[in-house]
Amino acid sequence: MDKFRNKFIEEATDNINDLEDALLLIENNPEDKELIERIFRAMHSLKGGGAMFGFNTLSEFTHHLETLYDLVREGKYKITKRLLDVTLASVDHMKTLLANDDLDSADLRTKHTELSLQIRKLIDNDNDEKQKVVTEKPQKDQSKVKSYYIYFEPDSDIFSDGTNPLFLLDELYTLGECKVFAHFNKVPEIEEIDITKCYTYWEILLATSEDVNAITDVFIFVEDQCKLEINEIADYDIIQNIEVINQISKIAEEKTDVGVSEIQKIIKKFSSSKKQSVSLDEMIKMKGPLPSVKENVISSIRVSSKKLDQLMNLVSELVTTQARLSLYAEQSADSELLTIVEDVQKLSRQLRDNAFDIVLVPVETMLTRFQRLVRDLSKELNKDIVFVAEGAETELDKTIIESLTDPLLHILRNCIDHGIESPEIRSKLGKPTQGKIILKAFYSGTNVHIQIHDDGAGIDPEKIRNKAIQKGIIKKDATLSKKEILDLVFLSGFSTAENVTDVSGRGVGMDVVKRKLSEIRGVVELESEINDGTTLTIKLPLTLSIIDGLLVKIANSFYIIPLSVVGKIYATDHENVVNKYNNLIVLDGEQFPFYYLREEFDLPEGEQESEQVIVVSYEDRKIGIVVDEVVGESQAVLKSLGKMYKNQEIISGATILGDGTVALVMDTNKIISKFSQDKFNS
Amino acid sequence: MKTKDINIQIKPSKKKGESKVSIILENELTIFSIESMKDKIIESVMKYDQIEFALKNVNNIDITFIQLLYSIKKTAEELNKKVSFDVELSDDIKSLLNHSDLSKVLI
Amino acid sequence: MSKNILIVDDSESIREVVSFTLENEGYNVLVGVDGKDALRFLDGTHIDLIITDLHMPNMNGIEFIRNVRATDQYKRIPILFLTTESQTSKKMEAKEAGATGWIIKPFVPAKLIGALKKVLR
Repeated sequence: MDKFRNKFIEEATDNINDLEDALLLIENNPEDKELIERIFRAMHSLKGGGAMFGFNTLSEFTHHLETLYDLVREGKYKITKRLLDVTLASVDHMKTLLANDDLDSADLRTKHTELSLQIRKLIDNDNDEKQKVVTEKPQKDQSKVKSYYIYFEPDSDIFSDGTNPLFLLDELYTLGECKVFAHFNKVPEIEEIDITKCYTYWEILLATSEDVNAITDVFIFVEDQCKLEINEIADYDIIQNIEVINQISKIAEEKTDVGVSEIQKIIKKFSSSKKQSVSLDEMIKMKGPLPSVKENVISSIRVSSKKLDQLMNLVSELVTTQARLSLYAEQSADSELLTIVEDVQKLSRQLRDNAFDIVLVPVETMLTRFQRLVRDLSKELNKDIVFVAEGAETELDKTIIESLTDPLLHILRNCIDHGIESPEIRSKLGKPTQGKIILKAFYSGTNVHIQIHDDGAGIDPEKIRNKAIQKGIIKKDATLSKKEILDLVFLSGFSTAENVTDVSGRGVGMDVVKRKLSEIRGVVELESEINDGTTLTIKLPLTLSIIDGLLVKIANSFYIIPLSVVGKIYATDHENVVNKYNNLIVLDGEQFPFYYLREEFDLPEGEQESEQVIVVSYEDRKIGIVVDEVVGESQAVLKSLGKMYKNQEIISGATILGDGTVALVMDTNKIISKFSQDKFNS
Repeated sequence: MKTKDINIQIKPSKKKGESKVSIILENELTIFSIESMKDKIIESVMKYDQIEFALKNVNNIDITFIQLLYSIKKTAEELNKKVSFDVELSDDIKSLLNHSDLSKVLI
Repeated sequence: MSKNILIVDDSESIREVVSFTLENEGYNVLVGVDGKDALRFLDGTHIDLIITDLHMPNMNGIEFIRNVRATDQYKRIPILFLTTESQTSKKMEAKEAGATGWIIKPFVPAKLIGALKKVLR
């Protein structure tokens, strides 16, 4: 809903500005009907939208203004200077309300009351409209089932506006139990029948705990197009009484309508003796499935994302606290306590999994925008492209989905603009003239993969290479694998389009896409064959807020390295990691580039003799990260970092350990990308 | 407009001496579509003594169609003709017809 | 087969909420930004239901409904209009123009679907 709310704010701002313009214009043209209409429409939108998107104060406030201008529109009120003064002051106030609908300052409240009063005075002064008395609806007794007789005879031309009375009868069944009798005695013989007319009418017995209003509501659209009678006939469920129903059915079959008085007679006759008590046998004999009291059970509810965020925060807190508790229990060696703690651990893990499940959103929610983009843009570029999505039901954390939409839109723009060729070129190449973009989403372990494949021109590695040399990104004689070359497109300042079109070449390149994706711990891979097309794969974590990590220590600080990237851990001598100018280390006969983190973090060189090298993997590269000590595995609840660490690009978050100390979570992707750039430049 | 189409087949019996017709109706049996078919149906009803309606692959059925069938039954009864039904309906449509007590016409 | 619903409203946020709700329910949504714009769909496009606002620039809802009803193919499809007024005059005017029913703003998705189920299955 937040997304819509923001959109409403944008729109409301436009509306308020438009309102202001119109008000200023009308000062000199007080009789201009079109201007009045414009004013009214703007107010109307503000009122309606405001109420829908939770700006209740704004909506209510605008409602009074609208009432005033409705009078103006009807010619009952003249545009005066005073009226305009109040309205313009109100417009300013509406702007404030848009930003602060809760009226949370005293000044604002005073102003609000004052203006509301002035508007009310304007309305009352010249119009003694009686105030409507709104009576509170009496609380209805939910459990009490009553029986109603309903006579429903649609007008013969009921079908002319698209009404289908069958749906209304069907809706009655959602209120309770029904017995419906259709009557056809007014249907003429075939020579006289007019197929567009309704000849059928109904008598209905309904047992429901809802009040009469709920029944009237069913027929609300057709109130004026039918004969409708609703009578309460019993203060219990009459449909359970088989004798009564049988008797009524018999009469309904024989004659035309039974009528309410006849039905009441029957009820009296059969129910005086045994009222609503029906034996079990009779219950079983009754045809059909067991009566359901109400069919409209709510199967899903909408919850504000703010509440979900709160829930997630609480769950995170719980996991953290629980870790502390486990630690304490272990130290205390109280076996009873340990058992309890284990149970708590199990429960909090279940709670965690459940809560995470709640915030998962299917990929499908993004698809409309993609479909729209492909349609609009391919049209604009005179290309014929079909967009197909597979695995749209795959679910991801809602924050991931939110951050994923823009990068995906950009990628799609690239596919449409640079990937898929024009129909002419495609037919020359012997390809089907219609290009195809496939978006595939699927689970892969604890990750979700999203693939975007196009069957377009593909990327020519030679072109990329030349461009990179030209731009000074790589040296002329650099030897790079095809994959390494393709990865160059993710470096900043790289744009391969020969002509910068306004579609995808607007400075925002794949480097931004990659950066955005890495903010949600996503990894991008690119594969491409000339003339066959390009496949871009994004690997994403299922959730952002908890990761399994390896807890390590450097100097006196703790760090977490995501377990998903950890390969092997080696111990090595201290001298192997210092004073190495090429930053390469040989472990198990294999050579790895490495980072000595103490050095990287500007810490003094460690004094221990042995260092721990953690080999982390990224695509086909392996890199060693040197730390003082490996503490063990740990489940880390990610917290965002304060401003202090904003510029620290290789740290992605923080977590609180069981004993309350803070550990920083390393973003190994960033470490690697930094390393890669250095490599290419050397 | 595939969905708004009614599909009708009228198959007179080939047995000698038998005045029988099968009227097979498919797809959209509603006010949108039956106006055009009404006369064809009535013509067959008047021509034969035994009329068998087969409703198949029905997407949609509404009151106007049920009323037409009722009217045919009513007229046929007076003319001593026999009308029978062979009906295949989806659960949704069945439920809608049951809830409005219209299914009794299709017996 | 999913049904086509045409939604006509000059407010983008309303359009989005309605589209979102309907698409969630499995309907196919067509969108017009005002009555005049929405006329382009009356070209033989299969439409199962129209949901239209009443207050709109260029062509208001009442006029749009009249246009729909004047087109043979659409003369009997259900039309719901969106309204904030409980004023009977507007409702009557829209009903007379040929609307099937209405949805009162503000609405929650359940209410929208509730109104829709009265006229479309």
